[in-house]
Amino acid sequence: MEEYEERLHNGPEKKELDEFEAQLLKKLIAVRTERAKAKNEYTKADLRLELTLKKQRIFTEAEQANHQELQAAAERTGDTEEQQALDACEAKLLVKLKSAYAKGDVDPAARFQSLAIVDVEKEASAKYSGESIFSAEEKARFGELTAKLDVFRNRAARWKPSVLGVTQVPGPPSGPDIAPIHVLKRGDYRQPAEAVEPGFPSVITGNFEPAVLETDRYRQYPTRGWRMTLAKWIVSRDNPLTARVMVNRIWQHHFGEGIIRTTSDFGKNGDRPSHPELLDFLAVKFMDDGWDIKAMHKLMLMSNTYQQAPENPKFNESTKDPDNRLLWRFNRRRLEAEAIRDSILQVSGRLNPERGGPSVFPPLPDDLADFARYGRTGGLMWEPNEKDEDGRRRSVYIFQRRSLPLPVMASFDAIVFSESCERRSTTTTPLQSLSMMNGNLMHEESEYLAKRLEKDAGANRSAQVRRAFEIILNRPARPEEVEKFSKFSGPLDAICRVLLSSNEFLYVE
Amino acid sequence: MTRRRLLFDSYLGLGGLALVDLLAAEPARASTLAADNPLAPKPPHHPAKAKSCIFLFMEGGVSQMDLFEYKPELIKYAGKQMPQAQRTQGELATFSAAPNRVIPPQWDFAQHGQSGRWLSSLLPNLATRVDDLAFIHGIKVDNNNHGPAVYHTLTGNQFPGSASIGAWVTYGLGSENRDLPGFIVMGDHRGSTIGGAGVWGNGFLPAAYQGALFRNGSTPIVDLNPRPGVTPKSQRSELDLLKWFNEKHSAERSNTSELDARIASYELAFRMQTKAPELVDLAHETEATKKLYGLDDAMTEPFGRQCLLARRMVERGVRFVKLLHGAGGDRWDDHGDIKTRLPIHAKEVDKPIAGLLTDLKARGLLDETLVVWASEMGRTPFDNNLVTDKPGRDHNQYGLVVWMAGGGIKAGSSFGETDDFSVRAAAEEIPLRDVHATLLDLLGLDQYRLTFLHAGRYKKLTDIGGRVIKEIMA
Repeated sequence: MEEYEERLHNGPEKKELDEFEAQLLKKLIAVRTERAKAKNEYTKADLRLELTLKKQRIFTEAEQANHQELQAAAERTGDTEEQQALDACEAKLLVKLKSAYAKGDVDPAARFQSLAIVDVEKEASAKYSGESIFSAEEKARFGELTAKLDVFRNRAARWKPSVLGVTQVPGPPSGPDIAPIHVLKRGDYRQPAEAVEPGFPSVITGNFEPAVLETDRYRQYPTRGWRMTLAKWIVSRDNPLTARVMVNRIWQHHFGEGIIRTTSDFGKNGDRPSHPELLDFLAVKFMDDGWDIKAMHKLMLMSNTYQQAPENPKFNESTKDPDNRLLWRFNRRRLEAEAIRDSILQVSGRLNPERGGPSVFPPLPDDLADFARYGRTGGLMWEPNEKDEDGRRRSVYIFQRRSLPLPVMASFDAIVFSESCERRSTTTTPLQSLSMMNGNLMHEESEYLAKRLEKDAGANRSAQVRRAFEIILNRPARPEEVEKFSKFSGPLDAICRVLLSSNEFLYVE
Repeated sequence: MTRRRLLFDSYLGLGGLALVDLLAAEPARASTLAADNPLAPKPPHHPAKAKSCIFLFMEGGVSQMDLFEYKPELIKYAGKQMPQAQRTQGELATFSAAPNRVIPPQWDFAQHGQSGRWLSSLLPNLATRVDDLAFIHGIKVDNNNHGPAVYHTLTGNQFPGSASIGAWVTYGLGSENRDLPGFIVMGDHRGSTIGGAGVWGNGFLPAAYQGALFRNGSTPIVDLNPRPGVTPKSQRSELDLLKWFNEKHSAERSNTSELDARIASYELAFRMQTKAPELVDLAHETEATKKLYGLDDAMTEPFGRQCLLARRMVERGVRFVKLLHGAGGDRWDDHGDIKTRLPIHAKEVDKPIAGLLTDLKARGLLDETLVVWASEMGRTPFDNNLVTDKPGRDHNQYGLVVWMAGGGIKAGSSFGETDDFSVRAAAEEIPLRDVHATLLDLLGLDQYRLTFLHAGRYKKLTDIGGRVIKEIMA
């Protein structure tokens, strides 16, 4: 991080930008001075510049303060009257400005000497300026140089530790009270009905009384404890719903379907549980184990039910339960996008298992490189990690850019985190196949995997094929497979791609 | 057999045959196979007026009173404040501190066509097609800023995460071409749109319905081209080995419809590699056609190319094509200097759009294609005070104009009207969901039946349901 900070503040890119900005500043001052002399006409922009001056000023401190206040009020409220007041004040000041210049009290040209780099930046990046002082080329160059520097700004920001803070809301007397909460008619904020107290949904509890609020016993914080009361209610031992919902979701994750298939609806419109006693058993166990998610995974994965084969010849011809609600076999399941990417990296031996830390930016497909730019000046919305191995960390660490999801992830049904997702869909599309056939991840990793195989098994193709089956599919190759794959005329990395694209690799049984 | 049908069938080519083989070999699987191909064509809810849709989206907020709405009052009040009654009373969250002086329309208006439709001189080519269009005026968008308004216009919800219109339509109807995506998006060559992938995303719908971003050049789809060093022949032998291995895997199992669909999807992808470049190859288009779309002029060429490609796509059975115009500083967001900026953007799209309508009509495709033109908001009649010497207009979420043409549209009609100052609907405002409901209806979809259970609720494009605007339908 220090390296990038240093480059950002003292690097050659910074120097180049500084020099260019200094040039632009000279031009800005010259042109503004010239315009002022030629036109002898002053705009509100000149007035505002004048008002910020600390030395040799025309306006009194009181005038400056008054203007500042009016301007703030107009901006804050957007109110017509406030704006009119500001306009009136500025009109007066403008008259004073003109007369001061006319009398020769101050040289207007000298005023522009106080323009600074920040004014250059404003002028150069102004979108709506009519006749800009800077030429299109100058603006473009400014954009280019800033973009170059932004690379280091972004890199430094990537590694800067940050934390989302939550603060206590101080109530009275040290802070403002929470506004009364009203029922809104038709959900419209302009139609408030009666004021209400915090309470729990009466449709669930049957209780219409306001909640008894959990207050801070030691009066350490002047908080009302609304959230704490709600949190405790949610995880209360008397409330079976939370634990049921959670274990049902974990179950769905491992078995493809929940015990209740509508994982987000346990109400009257939802599905009935296929195994109600099991659901309650798991929910109670979950609470007893201190809401330990890992223990729950373990319990499910070690069950006989989970360890069933996807084929059950005894019932295969039966038509009694085609949807396998009663779990007479395992539900075959495609890996999720994250697991596909992680597995490919794992077998190529290049997964970076490092935990924690900032989000990572794996390389984009070449075709998308120019799409990753903002507009024409070149700010990047996706700069791949400068250290290659950072881009090969587990998929949970991939930066979530809503406007640019990683195509290989998006095609395999990974979600963009802007909506809750109770359940991933698993679609089968040719775009997935394209990324397996031609994508950069697949090609890079299959090349590394081929090297790994050569190292493990030497130059003999049959030995390489056997090793490939062991590494990729976790089983020995059968004789006919060894024969067929050994006869294949393509390179070893093509064999790796075939196995990595196969249904056997992509589906869990 | 229609000419278009014939084109589809020949297009399916080997793919069609392979599918037939698959179905013949395993008749019992036919239905599950269709279920496993999320893009298999599905029957509409009611007879469709149009089979496919081309959605032309102008990003930035187009000034309706400089193009489509002739308001003489604005000339009368030029440079003055609007009368108090017409002020927006702070409800319109504009960026200027207060409603400022009225800017008159900057270009002359004239009536065109049989319908006597008023258009400004900025759209001379569209003016010749005006009798094909149906206008909706005074549409209200939920938000007055670009990001949320773009999301609202294109996904029915101002917050990111919802399914885009194209995703809903392909979810409802599937696609008629198995070699190409059912929903294709072409962005502005100058950069990414606000909201990025979210505006053609699948949202909560399965990923198969996300829009495929087509890019300029010979590799329109991401990862379409084989890597350097991989020849079609070597890739074919690679895929043959994969097929052998996958089929062996399937043969040992039951319930293999999903597995078989994936085997087929590799074949589809392989074919797509030749079909998609062929789609974007304009070598076989005549010079006259290219000229019609303005490909001979550097200013109209980029959007002209998009429009011509859109025609080629619907011709091949792509269900939904979305064209985006405007990006970054080059969009319709004329806060300042509208006098210079608007003519540029209007010119960039005028000829291409008129060319598209002419060409679709000449080929008999306009009757079965719905063309929709929209922006994410309108603009204000008054100056927004950001650049005092070069006036421009502010955002106006109450002033959106949308026009439609093609299948099921009452050509030359118009619905809704804004007040004398083009600020908002004169009578009842038209919520955007009405437009969405109309679009779905024309494509044979019932907004109340096109639902998807997500987060405990049956989601739909029109949220609480919109009114189908029968007034603009034939």
